[in-house]
Amino acid sequence: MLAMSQAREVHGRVMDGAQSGEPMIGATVMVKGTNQGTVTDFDGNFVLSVPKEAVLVISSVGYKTQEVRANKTELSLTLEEDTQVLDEFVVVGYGSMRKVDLTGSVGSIAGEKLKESIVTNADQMLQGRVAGVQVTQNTGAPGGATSIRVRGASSITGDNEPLYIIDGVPMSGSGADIGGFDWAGGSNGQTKVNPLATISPQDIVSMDVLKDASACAIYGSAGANGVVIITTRRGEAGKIHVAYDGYVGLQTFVRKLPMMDLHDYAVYQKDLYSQGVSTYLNNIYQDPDLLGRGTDWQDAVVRNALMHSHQISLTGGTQKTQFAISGGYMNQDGTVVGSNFERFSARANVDHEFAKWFKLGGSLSYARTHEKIINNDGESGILMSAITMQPDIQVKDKDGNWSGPSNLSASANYNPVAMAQLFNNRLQRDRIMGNFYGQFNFTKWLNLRSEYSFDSNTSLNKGFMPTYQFGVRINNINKIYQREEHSFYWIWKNYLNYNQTIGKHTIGAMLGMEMSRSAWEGTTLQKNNLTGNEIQVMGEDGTFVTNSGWKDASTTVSVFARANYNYDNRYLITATIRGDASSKFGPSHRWGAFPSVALAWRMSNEAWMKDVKEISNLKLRLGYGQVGNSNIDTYLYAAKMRAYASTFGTSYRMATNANPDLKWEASEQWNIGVDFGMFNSRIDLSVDLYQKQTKDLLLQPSVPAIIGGNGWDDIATPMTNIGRVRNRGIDISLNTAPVQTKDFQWNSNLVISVNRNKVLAMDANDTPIYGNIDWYSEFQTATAIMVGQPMGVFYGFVTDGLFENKEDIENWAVQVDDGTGHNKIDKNTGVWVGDIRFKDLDGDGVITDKDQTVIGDPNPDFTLGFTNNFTYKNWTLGIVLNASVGGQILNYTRVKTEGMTSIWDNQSTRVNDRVQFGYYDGDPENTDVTNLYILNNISTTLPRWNTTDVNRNNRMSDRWLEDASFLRISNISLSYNFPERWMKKIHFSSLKLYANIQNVWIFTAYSGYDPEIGAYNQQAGKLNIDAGRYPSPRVYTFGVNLTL
Amino acid sequence: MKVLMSNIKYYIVIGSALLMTACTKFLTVEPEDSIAMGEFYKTDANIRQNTSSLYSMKSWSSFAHQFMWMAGDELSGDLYYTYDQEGQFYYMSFGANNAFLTQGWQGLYRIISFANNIINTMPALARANGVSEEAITRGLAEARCIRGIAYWFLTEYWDDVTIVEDNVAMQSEILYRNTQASVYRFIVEDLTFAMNNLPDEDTQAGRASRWSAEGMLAKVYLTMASHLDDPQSDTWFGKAKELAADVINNSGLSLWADYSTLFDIEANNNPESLLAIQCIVAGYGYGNAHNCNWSRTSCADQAWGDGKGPTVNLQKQYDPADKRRQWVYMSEGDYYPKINKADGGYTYHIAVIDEQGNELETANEMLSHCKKYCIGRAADCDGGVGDAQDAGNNIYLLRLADVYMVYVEACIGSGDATSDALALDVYSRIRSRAGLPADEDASITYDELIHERRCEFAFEGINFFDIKRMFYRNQTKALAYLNGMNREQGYYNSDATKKTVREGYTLDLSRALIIVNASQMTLPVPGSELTAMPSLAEPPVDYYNQ
Repeated sequence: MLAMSQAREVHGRVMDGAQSGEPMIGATVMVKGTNQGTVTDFDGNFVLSVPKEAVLVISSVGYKTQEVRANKTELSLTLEEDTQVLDEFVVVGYGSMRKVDLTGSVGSIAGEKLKESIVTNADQMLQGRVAGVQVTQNTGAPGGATSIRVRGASSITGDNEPLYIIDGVPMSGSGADIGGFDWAGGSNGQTKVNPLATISPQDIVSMDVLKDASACAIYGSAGANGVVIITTRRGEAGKIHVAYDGYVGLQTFVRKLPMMDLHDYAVYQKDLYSQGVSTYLNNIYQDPDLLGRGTDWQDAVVRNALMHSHQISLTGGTQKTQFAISGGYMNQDGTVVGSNFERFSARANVDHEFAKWFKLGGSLSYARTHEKIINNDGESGILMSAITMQPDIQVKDKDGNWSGPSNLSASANYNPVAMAQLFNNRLQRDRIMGNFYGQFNFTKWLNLRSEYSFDSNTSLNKGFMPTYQFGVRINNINKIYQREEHSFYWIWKNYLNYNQTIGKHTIGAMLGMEMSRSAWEGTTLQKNNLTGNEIQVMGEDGTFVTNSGWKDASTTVSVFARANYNYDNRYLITATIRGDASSKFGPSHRWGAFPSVALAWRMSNEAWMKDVKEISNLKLRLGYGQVGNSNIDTYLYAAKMRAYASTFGTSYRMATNANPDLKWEASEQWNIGVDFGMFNSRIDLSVDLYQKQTKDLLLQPSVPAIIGGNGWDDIATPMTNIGRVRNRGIDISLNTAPVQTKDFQWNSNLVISVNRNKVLAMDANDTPIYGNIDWYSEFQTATAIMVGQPMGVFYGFVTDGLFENKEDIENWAVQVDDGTGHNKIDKNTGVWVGDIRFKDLDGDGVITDKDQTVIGDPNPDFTLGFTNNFTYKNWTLGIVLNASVGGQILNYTRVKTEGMTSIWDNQSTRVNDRVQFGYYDGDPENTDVTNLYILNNISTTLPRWNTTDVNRNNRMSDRWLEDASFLRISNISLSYNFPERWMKKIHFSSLKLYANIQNVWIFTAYSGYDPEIGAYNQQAGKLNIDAGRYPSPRVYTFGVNLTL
Repeated sequence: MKVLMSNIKYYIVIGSALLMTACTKFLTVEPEDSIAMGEFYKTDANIRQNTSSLYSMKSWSSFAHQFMWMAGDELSGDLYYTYDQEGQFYYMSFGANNAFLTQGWQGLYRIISFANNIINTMPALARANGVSEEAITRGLAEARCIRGIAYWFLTEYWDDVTIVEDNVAMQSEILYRNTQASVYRFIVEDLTFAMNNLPDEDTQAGRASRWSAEGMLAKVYLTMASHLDDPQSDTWFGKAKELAADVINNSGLSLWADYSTLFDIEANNNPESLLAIQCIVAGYGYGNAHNCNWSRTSCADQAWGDGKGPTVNLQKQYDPADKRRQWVYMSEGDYYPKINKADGGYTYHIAVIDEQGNELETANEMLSHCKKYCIGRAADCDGGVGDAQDAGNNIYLLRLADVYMVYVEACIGSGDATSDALALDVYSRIRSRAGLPADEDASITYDELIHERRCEFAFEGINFFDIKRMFYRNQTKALAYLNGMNREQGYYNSDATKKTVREGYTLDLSRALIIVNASQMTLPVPGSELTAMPSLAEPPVDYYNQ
């Protein structure tokens, strides 16, 4: 009451010290020690009611905070620019740079932004956050691989994953391999696992994505797909902090496919039998009305799964020595039974100034991950099996044993619940990464840094296929499989850094060299017929089946230089050149040279711009550069022999035809960008236009099989440098702070990425490269990389409704020739009413391969990420939206669930709407074609049931394509930061509690589990193919961040 | 100092040279897990290791795992199987995109690429390392023998096919198909070279010998001669007869006495086996996949042969006294002591129903299942069956019995019958092994021969070629022969209470709707090949007179 009675009104004006004479808009004015306050208006004015003797705290982003005693009713003050904040550093190759001095295109996320959603792997942090970076998860399985495309894909046969630099240690983004599942029979499933799974996301303090050539060129050959620089937490001088970061989460399965229940399935089976298309009817299906819903196999294989993560860190140091130590543990069960991911990680970073002229330090990290991987993505995958499993079979019988079909003839189907639990791959990875540096400071402006880094990996993959009995389905051979892999990589870098400001001129130069060696080796071993299923160890027990082994290495040597020049913070130029040599190329083609240059003009620093007070930053950037790629196998410039077992002892044959002229793949990139800030960066807009053209692509040309092939079994055609691919696009990034009041702030970040990919040239004959789905499927040319099209387009036939009656078949182009140039009309060996009509594109009256065309494109028109943070006092609400617009999905799952060729497979309820026949004479016994027409549901697109499918209703056509557009509410989080003054009382530095929902909702027309499909095994030509992909779960988490 | 300075350019040059040498050394990484080809051919044995790849199932698997029987046995009307793409060969409704058709084509051209690689690169590299000319020539002969056979399969299925002699040199060329006549000539050249340069007997049983090449060449000449409109037809019949007789009289080889074990592991590379795809148990692709593809579920592990069986028409071919029948296919009551040995053998029943009335194993539409090449489980043959579709019994490419029959057919020539003494002799040897009497009227007619061949070679993937030769001789006859089979007829359960006995099933003849026309006698070039090389759709050109 006393304070209130003594309150008085203070009028003040805040001026901008950086732009003399200008008012400071939106500065926060607070009464110290309270939460009373306000913000300045457009003229820099504020009015605040304050108690006597109050101290006002005036602050604004990018300016030094001031405190003034409110001893007058009229105040006038000037906020000075805080150069330390403005000098926000961005990590670039071989050093860091003031963000304002950047000439290239770099996207950064750091600090709190990294914590806006709960992720298990670091690459997910990039999703929707950086313009031009498209992140899709290839699988929802814990620890599964991600596809990251920085400004589109350019390499056709290699993967297109960026290079990661983790505290100076380079790491390829291409996934590690596991042995898959085909060694035990059936389809292999995805065999790539996430390379970043060994990094704990909580250790990361910033991620910088180098997008254009001028930024990437300093990484030369490895930077062709973009570079992501990851920096982990380092210590700071001052108090020692102990922090705990932890959460628990519950994951749920989001969507189910509508499959037939037992009743529907029996009706369906009975119908097939009565129509004579099926010759077998299980007795139990005779009277469907007696049957219940049966087993819902989807429910049986999925579960609500728990995950939890804990991380403790210790940071601190003195002026001379700083350190950071952390340890973490994470455990995530998958939403499909049998899958799990577990990680233990530890990291230590130390920096020490030994003398003024010498600094040294390093980091060391260790991680162990343990994964249980179930078979997914493929015909034998757990999900694919679950959806096609017959609903009359129980998961377990009354005695508690796993059930299975009661008839041996059932071509189906093992028990997927049992298989997920009994038969999975276990992968254990150990990774030790280290980086040690010494830095000699000769003068204030010249230093030499020498850095040695290594990355040591061991992975151990074990699989066990037990003997089992599921109903009458018996497997009496058990199998054990083991794959071990070891790799060691080292790199030694030495570079001189020069940096000096003379008047208005700032000159920087860097000159360096590096060399690296990567070596890897591994073995696989398989044995069968172990005595029992209990001892799952590769020991003496069992009979030897097969083994394999490999050992190889590659080396690189590089020299590089960079020069920067900055005149008066207005004109900036950066030029780099790098020479790379790789052991993967023959002696005469080893070296490649990759230059780049970039210019920037900070218009807002021009004198004539100072008057435009609304504009706080305006910078134009222009960059050009070349980047190389050597992402191929070793020793392709010469021939080697392949060994394999045969009756006559070891056989040898040539493995690959050599190409001694193999050379670097080069991509040439242009970037034009503008950075635009208004109202003291309340609005920040960055727009970049780019073009990236890759030529001399390293690829194995597509040749007809008469010349050769590229499989393991072939003498592979030689790798060549052919073709050209172009990516053009726009990256838009808009950061705004629409509301900034004392108690309430709203920050938003909108990222839009538009990329247009086009193949400009292939080999001399422009031969397309086709992609298949499983060799035994008919989908051998389902995707294509062809000139004039984006990479990975869908290729196939165009459907045009169903045959309605006999006349319709007679008048249509010939789909099945009867030998006289007409359609053969026959229920089993020809075309029939209710079969699909295909368009005769070339008009020759016959449906042939020439009637195939490009029928769809997996690439989205644009992707969008929209992040909003609302802060009210100590509460923060975060909402993240992601959208992908345009593009298509090849829903291969439907070939199984709507294919209607096997009576043993359960089908989608959509099959209930399949075509039904009417009979002109009303007699359903008269199945002559002249008596048939399509009943009522002429609108259906689903053809008749047919085991032989001579008409190939199931061929690759637009029938299987669906719109891939979606809008996802990716994340909603709510957190509460406990007030500092409470914390002080209990001697905490800070305490934050939060709740988070990930993958909240998805708006899409896609009929499968999840429209975010990604690339099968990260392959460029196999995008958006849904073959039973493990969908991403919905995750509810609750967490705490505590710092002492 | 002055000296030092004046020589500095030398120091720089020498220093740089040392640095560059070190750099080059660092950047040269020789393979550690495999032998560089330039280092490989050092001894005669290395060539043998290289040529052994030509016989291995691992090299042949794309052709032999599925296509070989789908085309060879389904097209010929011997094997019943209706499922999806695999059944398209049975229905004669295969399209150019059939995955197995593509596999077969690829598999044969892959073998050719292996042979070409040896023919084109081995001699120079081996000579440079001082390997003997004898070993080089023998390696060439083995490679040309296998290449000739692969081209023979190709041209019998696809007629006009592209001859590829050098996979690297032809890589950037626009390729056309070559006429069947020029393909025949190419095959004859390869096999003749092989015949003249291969030993009578190789120290390793299973490798090509003079007799393998000569027997095959006889069959090729017979095929060429069957084009009766070819003015040289009679000459080719004569050649076929002469070569086959040489094999019969001079090879010293003989028939394997017991047909029942001819397709088991114990018969691998027996004296009747002139050439076979070598199968071992070593993982997927290394072994015989027929066991897994054809066996009924209760006879083998991971089998999917339930829906396959001999067509009704094939079943009708066998004389009740024919001892071969039980070893070609299983029929009600047949007993197999070597299958399910642990349970005392396997007795075949068309369907199996347990005490509760549950149907454990359903009858198929043929009421029969395949037996040839099916050898049971691992325990039944001492580990000779793996679990990755790899059984250890070889798959014949050419048996002596085939050469016998080639001789008979060459004697018949363009006529209708033969009474050639040697023909009657070898013919009776085959029949007597089958428990059948020699030909009664001492004259073997063409139709008798084809019938005998069908019974002898059913499910060996070669009967379609008999029909193809018949088609060359007389299109109408061959089509009538195929369409006369009514191959779609099958047995359907007509009395649900009698599922385990044949009486419960009725033979449905109305389903016989498979009508074969002349255009189906040539397989379509795979769609993916035409897409990759559209010029393959152009009319074929003569390889020798382009």
